[in-house]
Amino acid sequence: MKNIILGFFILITVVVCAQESGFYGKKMVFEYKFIGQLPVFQNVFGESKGYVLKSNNLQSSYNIPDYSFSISLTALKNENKGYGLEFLTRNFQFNPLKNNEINRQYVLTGSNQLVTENITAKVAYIPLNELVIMPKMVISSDQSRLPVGFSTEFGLGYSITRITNTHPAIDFDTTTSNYSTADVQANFIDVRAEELKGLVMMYGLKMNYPLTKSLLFSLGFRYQLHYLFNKNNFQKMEETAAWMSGREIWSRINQRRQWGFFNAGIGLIYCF
Amino acid sequence: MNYYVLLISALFSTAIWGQTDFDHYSLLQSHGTIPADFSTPTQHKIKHTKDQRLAKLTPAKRKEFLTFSNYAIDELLHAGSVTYGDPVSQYITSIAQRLLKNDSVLFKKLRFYTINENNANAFSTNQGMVFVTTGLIAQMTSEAQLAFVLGHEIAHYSEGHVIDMFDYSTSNSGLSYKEKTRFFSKYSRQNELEADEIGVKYMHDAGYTSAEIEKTFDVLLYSYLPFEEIAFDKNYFTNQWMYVPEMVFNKPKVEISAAENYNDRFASHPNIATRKEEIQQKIDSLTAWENKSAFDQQTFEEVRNICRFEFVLNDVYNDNAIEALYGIYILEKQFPTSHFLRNCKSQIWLSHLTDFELEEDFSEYDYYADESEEFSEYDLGYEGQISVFAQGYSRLSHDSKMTMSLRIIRDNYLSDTTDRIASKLWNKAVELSAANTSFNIENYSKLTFNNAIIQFQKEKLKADSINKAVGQQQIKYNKYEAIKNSKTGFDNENGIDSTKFYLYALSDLMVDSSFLKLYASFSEGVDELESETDEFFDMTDEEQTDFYVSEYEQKLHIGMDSVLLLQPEINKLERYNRKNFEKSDQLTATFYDVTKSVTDDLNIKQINLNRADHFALTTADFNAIASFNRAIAKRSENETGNFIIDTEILDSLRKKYGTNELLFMELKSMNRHQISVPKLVAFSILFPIGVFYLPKMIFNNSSSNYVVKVLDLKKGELVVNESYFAFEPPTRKFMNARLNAIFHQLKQKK
Repeated sequence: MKNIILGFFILITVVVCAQESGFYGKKMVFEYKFIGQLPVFQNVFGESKGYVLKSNNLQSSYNIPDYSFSISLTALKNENKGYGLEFLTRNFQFNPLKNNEINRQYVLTGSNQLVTENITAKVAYIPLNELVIMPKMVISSDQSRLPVGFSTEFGLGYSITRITNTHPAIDFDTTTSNYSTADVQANFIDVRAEELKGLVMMYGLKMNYPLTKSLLFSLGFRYQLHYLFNKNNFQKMEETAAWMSGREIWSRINQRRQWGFFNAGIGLIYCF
Repeated sequence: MNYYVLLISALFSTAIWGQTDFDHYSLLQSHGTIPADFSTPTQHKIKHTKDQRLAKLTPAKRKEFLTFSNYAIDELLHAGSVTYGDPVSQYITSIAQRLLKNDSVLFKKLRFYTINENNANAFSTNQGMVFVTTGLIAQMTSEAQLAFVLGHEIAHYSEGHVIDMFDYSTSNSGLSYKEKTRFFSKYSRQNELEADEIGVKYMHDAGYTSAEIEKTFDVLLYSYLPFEEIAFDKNYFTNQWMYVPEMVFNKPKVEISAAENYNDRFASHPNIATRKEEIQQKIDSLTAWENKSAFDQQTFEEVRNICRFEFVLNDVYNDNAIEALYGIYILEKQFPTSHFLRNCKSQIWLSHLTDFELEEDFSEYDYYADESEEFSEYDLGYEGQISVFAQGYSRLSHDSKMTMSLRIIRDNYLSDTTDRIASKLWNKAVELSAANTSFNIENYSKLTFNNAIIQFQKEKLKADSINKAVGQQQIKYNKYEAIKNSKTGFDNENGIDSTKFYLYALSDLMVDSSFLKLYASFSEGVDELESETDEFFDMTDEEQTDFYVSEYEQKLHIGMDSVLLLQPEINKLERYNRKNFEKSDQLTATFYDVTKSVTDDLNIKQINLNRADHFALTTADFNAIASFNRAIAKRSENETGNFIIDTEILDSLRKKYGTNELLFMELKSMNRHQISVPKLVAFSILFPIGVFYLPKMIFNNSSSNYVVKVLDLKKGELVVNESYFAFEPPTRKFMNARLNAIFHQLKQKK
């Protein structure tokens, strides 16, 4: 990581010497952006509804919230090309339910007996936060001059995804169950799966509209492919007593991240 | 009273025409006060049109007609080829005045302008403007023919044919395209016959002879031919220094194929046979015809000569080498000492000295080799006497043309060494020869063709006598000597090889130390360039990329501190690439504002030479705009910097406006209107293609294409010619960012 940052600043010092690039001669581009997922893929693949906690009640709801804030700094090498580094934080969630059930499978302590349990329940979406650091390259289309006008961007980022609430709201019929809500809540998430690392491959289309001689307004679409590392390092269902095993969490998060493929964003750009 | 006016105007006109110096011909330019047609903003014209004849159109049609006709005509008026107050326009006006001596009200409604182009054409507009091309007058043989054409065009105006035609063409919406074309054509032909009839009446009343009317149709029929039919002299190029074999031009002429009775079913005009037939009845119906083909034949011929000189010049500008050279050949018979014609000739020949000359058909063949080829003279497309010259010229080998170019340009220069254009042409010719890899100075003989023959005969006699003296009768063959001799235009058995006549055409230059010195100095420059090229090829890929980037970045670095901003060409195109005239006007106004603000910001002195301030435009400015437009258009086709003949004019304009750089910009903005409900539906179904395609479609809906051309007025060269296409709307902010970047780069020094 240190090397990436160091390399980036060396790059900045090199490109600042270039003569022809820039917006009114300004060659450094700082961008603050809001990105929201367009739920096209979820609709197409028919993600089932989950639950959200509203007024202390779990209510059925689509999995809508998926948004990011990003800041980036780009150094323009010439009229058509720039290199930048982006920091992005993404908030989204995944549905822990499958067929309105939670289930677990574990080996009973002191025996070889494999225990399988399932509970018909309502569980709130599990909130996630993803931090991404992404070196990127911006290329103008045709003879557009960066940062003005239509451009495309490519990036490959390193991501860390965290579960921000390991005790989601749960509701089930406790009268027919051996467990209380608190028991299930406390043992719901496999603690070894609270942080997942991976990659983000990004391709974006942007249109930047000049506002002043140093400020631009940006509209864009972004396509992101995700990859999570080390699936095999996470515990299988039978290896943990948690209701959501590490492997299960890995899979759910992996699927949910892919559904966030298509995004739209608006932003403000400051050049200096 | 009319006669007095006519007399005074004739005297005045004669005074102007009498000054035409064809030896030092200067371009046809506008004179006098700029007419309102040229200075009034288009929107002003549209709003203040008071033509009762438009009342028959519906309000929507009237608006469409006024918008389109005014903008289209204004574009023509400011394109650079239309002149006012010049000798030709004055002459046309004086003839029109004679035709309308009984209808001064109508005459006052009309304005007469010249279009400087070689197509034979004339037309009138509903605003009362009558245009005649120089190409038409160049083809005529009498004033009466011009009078008939003018009468015809005046009739179109007086009868409101333009509005009629618009009304007719926009009606009948239920008809198919083919039906519309056919009916429209028929309607148009009826209007033409009506205009012919009225034109005859004007001719009759003005006192012209009816005999010239039919000849006018011959002018139209044969206007695709040169303005005279004169046999080409096969020895035209041969002089004391150069011998060009007659057999180069030994091909027979191609017969003229034009016919009067062609199919006019879809044409706007009836065929010539029909027109002649119809008009004869009208002529016969009128009695007491006068017998004048011209009221002043001398003036007619002078005006025609102006048009013919412009005809040649237009051909030079358009790179029509064969037409230009044949035109010069004709005019030289009347004006043998004309510097203008000589310089035009040199300019045409100069193109053969470039290394990358685009060869015309067949020219790669030696002309003797063509004898065995299936050579079709019809492929060249020339008919009549010009076809003889065209065939010979096209069959000349590249080496022959190159040498002839140098010879002709040299002879032109020597005919008057004080002629600055001729001198520049000569210098450029030597420079191009030195840079031309096909031109090998060592191959050229120090003997003229005739002297070489004499020399050969002498040597042959000497050799024969030696052979006889020693009793050797056997012929000795030597393959390598034969090859060597062949390259130097020598044939072992027959003497001088006449197909290599060009090798003897520069004999004076081969012993001229000043030429050899000049040639050597240019050659050194070429060697330096070659060594730079070698260095480039020795670079690594990375170094070559850096070199390219540096070259690209420095393209616009010309150190521009002040600029003469020429009228830009700004087009706002909408669906089906139709120009929205009103939006284009608004965009032009924005463009002016932005350039002003950008040049102020960057501290670049800006001088405007455009229609932004219509009423401030003078005739001198108008002429300058025309010259600049022509110069830029010419250099945009070919950026080699070899166009010389207008450099003196450009230099004088540089001094007049006090800046070295002339900037011409084009902005073409397109709104594709590509987002539509069916497309959205289609690409929603075609998921996931739509996920990629739709955003791109939204962003790429608007595009702007900027073209930047900078003409260095001192060198006469186009130093910048760049185009920038981007998917961005042409708003003020986008334009400001773009122009700021461009002007900033132009200000940088290399």
